[in-house]
Amino acid sequence: MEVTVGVVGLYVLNAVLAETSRDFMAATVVGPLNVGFALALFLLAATVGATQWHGRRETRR
Amino acid sequence: MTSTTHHYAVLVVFLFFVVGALFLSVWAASYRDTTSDFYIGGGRLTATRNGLALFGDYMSAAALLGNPGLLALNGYDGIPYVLGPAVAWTVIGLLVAERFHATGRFTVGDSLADRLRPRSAHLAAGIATVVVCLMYLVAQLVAAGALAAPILGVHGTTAERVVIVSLGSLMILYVIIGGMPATTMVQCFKAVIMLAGGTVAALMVLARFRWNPGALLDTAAHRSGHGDAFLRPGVRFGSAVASKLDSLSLQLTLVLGAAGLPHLLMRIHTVSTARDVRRSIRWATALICSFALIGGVLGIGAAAVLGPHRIFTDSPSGNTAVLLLASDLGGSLLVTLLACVAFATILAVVAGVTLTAATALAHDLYGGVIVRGAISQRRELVVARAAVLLIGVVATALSLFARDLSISFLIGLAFAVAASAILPALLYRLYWKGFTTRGANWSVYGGLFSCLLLIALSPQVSGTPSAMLPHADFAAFPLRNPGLVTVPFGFFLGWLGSVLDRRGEGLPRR
Repeated sequence: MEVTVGVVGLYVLNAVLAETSRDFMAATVVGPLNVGFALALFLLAATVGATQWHGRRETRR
Repeated sequence: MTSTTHHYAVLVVFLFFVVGALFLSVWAASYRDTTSDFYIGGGRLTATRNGLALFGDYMSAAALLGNPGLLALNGYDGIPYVLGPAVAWTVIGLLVAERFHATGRFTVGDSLADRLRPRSAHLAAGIATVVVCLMYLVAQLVAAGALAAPILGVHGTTAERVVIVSLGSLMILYVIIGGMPATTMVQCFKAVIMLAGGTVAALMVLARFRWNPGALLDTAAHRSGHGDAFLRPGVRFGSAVASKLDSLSLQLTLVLGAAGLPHLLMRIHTVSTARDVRRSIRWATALICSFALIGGVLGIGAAAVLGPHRIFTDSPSGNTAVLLLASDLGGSLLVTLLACVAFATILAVVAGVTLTAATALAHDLYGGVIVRGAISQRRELVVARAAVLLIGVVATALSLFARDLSISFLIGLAFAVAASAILPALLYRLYWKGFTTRGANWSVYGGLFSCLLLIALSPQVSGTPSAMLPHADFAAFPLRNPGLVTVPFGFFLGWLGSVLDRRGEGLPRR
């Protein structure tokens, strides 16, 4: 539950940031990779991570 | 797309073999004639196969063609279309899947009915399911029609209609004969070739840029004509307040709507244990997120290799960007491969959604409402097969009229209704003991009708040159996507109805 709220919350935050602080989203991370693209990649990884973690934890119980 | 025109013969031969093989394997498969086998394959599927099939059920033509095209034309502003449906799997996987599997047998209606008054629960869930499925089906069939010109090389209204009608009737026949086992088969097949085709194309893009993603991004930004603005928010949605809210609304709908899509929910019942549910979700999520990455590479790659001008002149919506890219990278062989993938994709999704809508008609509306459960398996199976025919014919007929509607508009609509009418009732049912029948009715019908009303009043339908009715103007609601209003509204009505219900009765009622 908390993890879902966390990931979906980050997703909504990402969406709000894209609308309100565009300069922040355009800030450089590495080379042409900016914060916006980095956040998108992170969210994909977090989604996979969350479902893998949840699946393993519940199965071990 | 003249380079592909003479290859349509290859595609036709390919489709002929695939369809022949599918029908043969269904005919040869051991199959018991029970409702449980027809709806959910007896619940005996392995987790790995169900994971693949979930991927095959979920990834539509939009994921392969539409979204990369949007990304290629709009840069950063295309990301929500790719990202939202992937992140949605945290909601499905962590909140919904296991609890849904533990309640009910086949449909959303079953899940609601085992705690609420069965007849109204089946009625409400059945209606919402049929509406969502029909919108989804029409979107897929319109997409199939739109592919006729660029892939088969045939042009004109008649050609599109022929493609829509033949695909529609093919899948009706297939689902009537094979039910869920056959649907699973076509979805697994599609998942494998879609992952393979997508991976090959994405690797070819990266190879073109010497395995340097930075060079890919730089070239895309440079060629787009927007410069660095291509990689930051604002290209598509602009900076007006309404368009910013619209973007938020769309993203909310995409991330929540998937968990209310009935065809995914029904698929969760095809495995037998909670452990297998979790394993199928892990497979499906990993595959879907990988494909989101592949779609991202294809979209940015199309912008970098082709430039927006070539993409836009071939199709203003960007739907053919991936095919153009394929023809540039791998010539006609790769185009033919991806064209086959695109058709297999549509076939698989149409099969899954048709089966789900037919189950809602036969099991919820006929079995649960009209005859109130007094029905033999044999008879319900006959009704279910007739329902497949009915849904298939209605969807095909609607698609012939909806040819001019944007595919992403239709998909957005289906997600919005799923998020506002189905998801609130489902989450309340799974997590809140105080949820009552009145709460369920209010949230399902309230979510459904508010969604349909706001869409009718939106700029998608009237008031703008690109609207459905460009000459009329009754667009009182400024957003194209109603989710920002209707999703909270659906949750609010579910709560309000339940609280009032209990206060009126003095104690919780069934």
